[in-house]
Order: sequence, then structure tokens, then C-alpha cells
Amino acid sequence: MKRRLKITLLLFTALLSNLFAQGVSRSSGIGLRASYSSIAGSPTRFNISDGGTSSVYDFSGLGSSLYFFSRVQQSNWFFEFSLGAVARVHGEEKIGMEDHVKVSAVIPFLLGLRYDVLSNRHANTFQPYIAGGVGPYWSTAFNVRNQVTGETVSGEAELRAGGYAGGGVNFVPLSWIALNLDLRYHFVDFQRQREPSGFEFALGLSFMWGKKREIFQIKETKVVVRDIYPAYYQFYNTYPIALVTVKNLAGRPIEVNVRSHVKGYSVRPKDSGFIKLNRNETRDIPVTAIFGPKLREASRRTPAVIDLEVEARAGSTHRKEVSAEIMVHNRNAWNGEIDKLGFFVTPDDEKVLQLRRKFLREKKPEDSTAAGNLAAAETIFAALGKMGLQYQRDPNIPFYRDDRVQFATETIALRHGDCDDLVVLYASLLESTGINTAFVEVKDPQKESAHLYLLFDSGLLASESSMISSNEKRFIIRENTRGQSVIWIPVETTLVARGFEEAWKTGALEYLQDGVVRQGLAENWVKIIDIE
Amino acid sequence: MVKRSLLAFLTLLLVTENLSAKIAVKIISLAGEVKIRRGVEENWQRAGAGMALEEIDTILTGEAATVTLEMQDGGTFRLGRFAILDIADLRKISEREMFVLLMSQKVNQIPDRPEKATLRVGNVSAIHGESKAGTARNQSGREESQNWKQETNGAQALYEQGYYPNAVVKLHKVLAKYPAREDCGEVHFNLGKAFEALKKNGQASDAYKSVFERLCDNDASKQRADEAREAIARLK
Repeated sequence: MKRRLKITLLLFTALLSNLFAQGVSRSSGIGLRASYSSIAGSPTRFNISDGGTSSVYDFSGLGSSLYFFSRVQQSNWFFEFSLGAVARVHGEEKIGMEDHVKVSAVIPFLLGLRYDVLSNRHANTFQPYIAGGVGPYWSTAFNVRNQVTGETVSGEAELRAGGYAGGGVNFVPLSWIALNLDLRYHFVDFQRQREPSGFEFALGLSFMWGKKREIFQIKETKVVVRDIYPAYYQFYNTYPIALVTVKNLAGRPIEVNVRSHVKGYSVRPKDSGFIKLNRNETRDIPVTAIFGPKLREASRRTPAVIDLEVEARAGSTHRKEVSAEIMVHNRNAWNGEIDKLGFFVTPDDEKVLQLRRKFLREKKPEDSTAAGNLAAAETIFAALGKMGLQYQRDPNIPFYRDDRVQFATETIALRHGDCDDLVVLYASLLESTGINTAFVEVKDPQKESAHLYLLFDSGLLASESSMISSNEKRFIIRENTRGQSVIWIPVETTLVARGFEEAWKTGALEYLQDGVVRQGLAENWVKIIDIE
Repeated sequence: MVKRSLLAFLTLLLVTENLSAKIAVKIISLAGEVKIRRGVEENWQRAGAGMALEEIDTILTGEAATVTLEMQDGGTFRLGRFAILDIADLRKISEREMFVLLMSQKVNQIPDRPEKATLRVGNVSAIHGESKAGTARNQSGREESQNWKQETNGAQALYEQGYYPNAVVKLHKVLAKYPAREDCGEVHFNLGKAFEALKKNGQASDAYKSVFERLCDNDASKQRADEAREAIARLK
């Protein structure tokens, strides 16, 4: 029963020690070993004669050594230097007649190499190693003989080259301390001894310092998106805002995860997910971020810090941290990229939904003679005009500054907006009705500023065009994913105060003049961007 | 991404061609019923001699009508019976521009995004439901046939007066606009002739070969097939 308990405790201790394993040992250390060796020659013995008139004792092979080690680069190899001494004391005494004491010692100065067998593969508490080295062995002997006639003292010394080979294990409970068990065989040939070579068994304690061996290196951190626009917060969930270049130094495959957190703006850290890196492989790991509601409340341009924690798994987990500075813009800021304007369109906003319901309740589209989605689109546009919504020209904004875009609810509250604000408002309401929309961006090379208006899907096929107009220049035929040609209607949203018919006509005329006749579409200065 | 790259490439080509030169024409003589439609207006108005037309306008001739237009460079253009033409189609384009326009037409036909699967709110079924206007207002088959014929005649007028690249672009537009139209190979035959006039033998041959896939069982088709066969042999 007791034995079982002991075994259980031993296994538990071993498991616990692995859980708290300190990983790969540090770069340098110094230690002290106590040893028993057979290189001094004869075995330890002790003999006292029966009559008590004589005694013989022989203490042999006890020794100690001081050792220092230092890692070679980032490898598993260590230089090891040791200075030790193994002593033998031999005494013979004949009571009242004479006594003879002989003290001999072997003092090796050894320089060698140690190789940690497992430290790369397993960040284990137990780190076995093999070792070997060479150096001079200094052998000395002193004889002290006391006789009735007087005392005689003699001595001799000898220097020989030799070497050792062996192995052992370090038990590393904390990253800075190790208990050492060492077994080695010394090859040295002293003329005065018949069996000079022999085993040495040692127990030691070492203290370590310096860097732990790295299993990975962060070579570079590139911030891909330095400017964070609150309106695009969903975009950053999937689009990498940084790339962390990681190199595997472990000599075996490792798994690396990068965790990002933007102080004050992230609701929780975002993991890249563990990515396997083969031996010596270097890879860019994309970093995305999850932003919380605080980002959407940003009222002014503020610097922020993105913290990146790189963790690598190779048995146990190793971590490193880096940070980078980013800039959080205010919630209405837009960098002018048309494909990002869609982030300001908020069809799911409760206030937008309420407004759309109110508009369509007041004048039911079913009562209209307009076909397809035109009835709802016309009703909503007319209701916006009825609210007294006005177009207000954008202030002249230098090209290096952000433009400001109002969300639908803000434009409703203010009762005015520029072309992008009105396009965003109308798109939000139409999308909330289930009508597909697209922006038309006009960057006329003959004008300084860009302009925007909206297209919406009429819900009618091209073959049904006569239901809405006899003039095909009033609409745009686009192909949907099912290969059907469908009719889209252009609307100049800045004309909200002048009614749907006027806004449609003007939108169609702009599209005809800029996009078709002046070849803006072919020249790509007129672009159609679908709102996702 | 691919679509954007293609459009950027086409832009680069077009910038060197200065496509945006304005044109305007004047009606110098007309006979029969000739109508014009201004820009995006719904209604047609009767045309008269001396009337100036802008590039956004459209001109239409009736069954027994012809109209002669004076171009900005002093030249004239005659549009025969039962034809429709956008004034913008009269701007002379080079072969390179023709190629770029055909390419951009194809690129713009690439769909940008998948169709939304479902509507977001419940009460929109009425909006997407059957229109109260009904199918009576749909373009009838006869009307579509007339429009197709008028546009094909407009393209033919371009070809006959040496506007070969314009004719190619116009005929492609007709093909895109009426994909299901059974034309007995007429548009492809005309396309073959326009390409042949431009000495684009490969494209011309391809267009002539396409005629055989669309032939009908009538005399006009038989004659067209014979002529296409001769043309293919000639182009070899």
C-alpha cells in the first residue's frame, strides 16, 4: 500500500514538474558537483585488527568539481569547462610503532562540449545530455611516514593529457536552477597507476542565467492598415491590419498563433489561429482585430496601440509581445475609397427600419402604378423630400484630409447632407426594403471634385423595360449572377427636394453623358460599386 | 479584382485615344417621317431641316423615310428607311478604340456580387410581387422585332458609309441587347462584312461561321449561307 502511494506521488510529481516545465534552459550557468570516482585507483576500505594494535583505512575516489557552461549560438550545444579534484587517502597505523598516511589527488582541467538531447523537441523539466571533452589531468601524491626514528615526508606529481565521455540529466524545476546527475568515463593514463581510466558518478547543482533558448523569432511587424476608420469595423474582422513575420528556430515544426488587442477599442483579443511552421520556415502571419462599440463612438482622431502577442507551441507554450501604433479616426471619417462607403450604409439600424416602415405605411407602394421596386423607391424618396431634407454642398476638403460621411440617422436628424450623405441615406432605406443598390462614382478628369449618385435594382428584367420607360437611356441594363439582364435605375439623390422623377431623369442623363457618351465607364472614371 | 485590373488596363488604352471628343450634327435634309428624341426624354418629336442634334440624342426614320445629317467635319451621313441611331454612334472611332470598347463591354457584363438570397423584411413581398401594371405593358414581340430591325438598319447604315469600327460596336450592342432574337444569321453576317472591310480576317471568318448556327429555312437564309461560304473561302 505504501509502495503504491509512493509510486503515485512520484508520478504526480513528475507530471506536475512537466506542467510547470521551464522549457529550454538558459544560455549560461555555473555549478558544483560532488562525485565518486574510480580513477584514483583502489577501492574504499577500512580495516582494524582484532587486537587493536593496527588499523588500515583507504578512502578513495571522493571528489568535487566546479563547472561553467555557455550555449553555442542558438543551438543545443554548450561549451563546458570544469575544474575538479578527486582524492584518495590511505592510512596504515601500528600502535606505538609507526603510522603511514598517503594522500593522492587527481585534478582535471577539462574543456568539453555538452549536447542537450531533448531540449529542442520537448520543453521538459528533465533534460538529458551527452558530453565529452579533453584536458590535462594533474596527479599528485604525498607520503607522511612517522616512525620511532623520526618523520619522513615525500611527494610526487605528474601531468597527463586525457579526456572524458559520458552523459547525464539535468532536472530543471525553475528556469534558473538545475539539479544534475552525471556519469562519465575518463580516459587518462598515469604511469604510476595500473588502471588509471575509470568512471565518475556525480551529483550537482547549477545556477543559470541569460536568455532562454528561443524557439521562434519575430523578424518583422508590418502594420498594413495604420489608419483605422470606425465605420469599417467589420472589415477589420477579416482584413489583416498587420503582418507579423515569424521564423521557426526550434529545429522541428512548431505552431504559432498571433493574438491582437487594441487597447481601449477591442472587446476581446483576436487569435489568428495556430499556423504550422516547418523547421526553419519563415512566414507572415496576418493579424485581424475585433473592435467593440467604443470604436464606433470615437469622436476624434486619436493614436492607439495594437498589442500583438505571439505564442508558439512546441510541447509547452512560449510567448513574445510586440506593439505597434495605429491611428483611430473619428466615427464619420471616410478615406474617400468608394468601395468603403458601403460601410456607412446601415439597413439593419433599428431607426432606419422604423423610418422605412413609416414611409411605406403612409403611402403604400401597392397603390402606385409604378412597376417592380420603383413604387417603393419612389415612395421613400418622396417621403424624404417631404421631410424637408436638403442637399448641402461639401466644404472644400483637401485631398489629404478625411471626408466626413453622415450615417442615415444623422442625416435624418440634421435634415441636410452632401452627395455622399444623401446617397448613404437613400441606400440604407432601399437596402432595408430588400432592394439592391450600387454607388455610381464619377471622377471626371475635367473637374476637381468627385460626385456620387445611386443605382437601384428595379426588380424588372430587361425584357420588361417598356413597363417603366420607352427610352432605354433612362435605365441601365446589368447582368445578375443568374445570367439575367435586369434593369437598374439611376437616381441623383442630391435632388431629393425636387422629387423622384426629376432625380431619376437627372441621374439617367448624368449616366448617359459621363458614362456612355464620354466613355467614363470604359475609361473607368465612372465606376459602379455594388453595396454589399 | 480581375474586373478592376481589366478596367484599369482598358483605361490606360483609352486615355491615349481621346475618346471624349464632342460631336454634334445638323439635319440638312429629310424625307418621310423622321423623329428625334432628346437625351433621356420619353417622347419623340418630329424632326425638321436645320435642327441641331447633340450626342445624347437619338434619331429615328419611318418606313419610307430618309435623313441626311451634316457632320461636324463637314461630311454627311445618310440614314435610310426604318432605322434608329444614337448620334453618339456617329463619332468615328479607330480600330483600337473598337477593340477596347468591345472588351470593356464584356468586362462590365461580369457580375460583381452574388444575388441576395432573401429579402430582409417581411412586408416587401408586395413590392416584389406581380406588378399591377401587368404584362400588357411588356414590350410585345412585334415591338421588339421592330426595334431590332431599326437598330440593325442603323448599324447597316454605319457599315455602308464606311464607319466600319462603329458598325462592329453597334452590331455587338444589338447582339447583347437581343440575345434570344432569331435573326437567321443576319447580324453575324453583317458583322463578318464589317470585320472583312477592316481586314480582320480571323474575326470576319469567325463571324461568317456563326451564321451557319443561326440559319432559318427561307430563301434569304440560303442566299446568306452561300455568301458566307464564299467569304470564308475568300478569307482563307
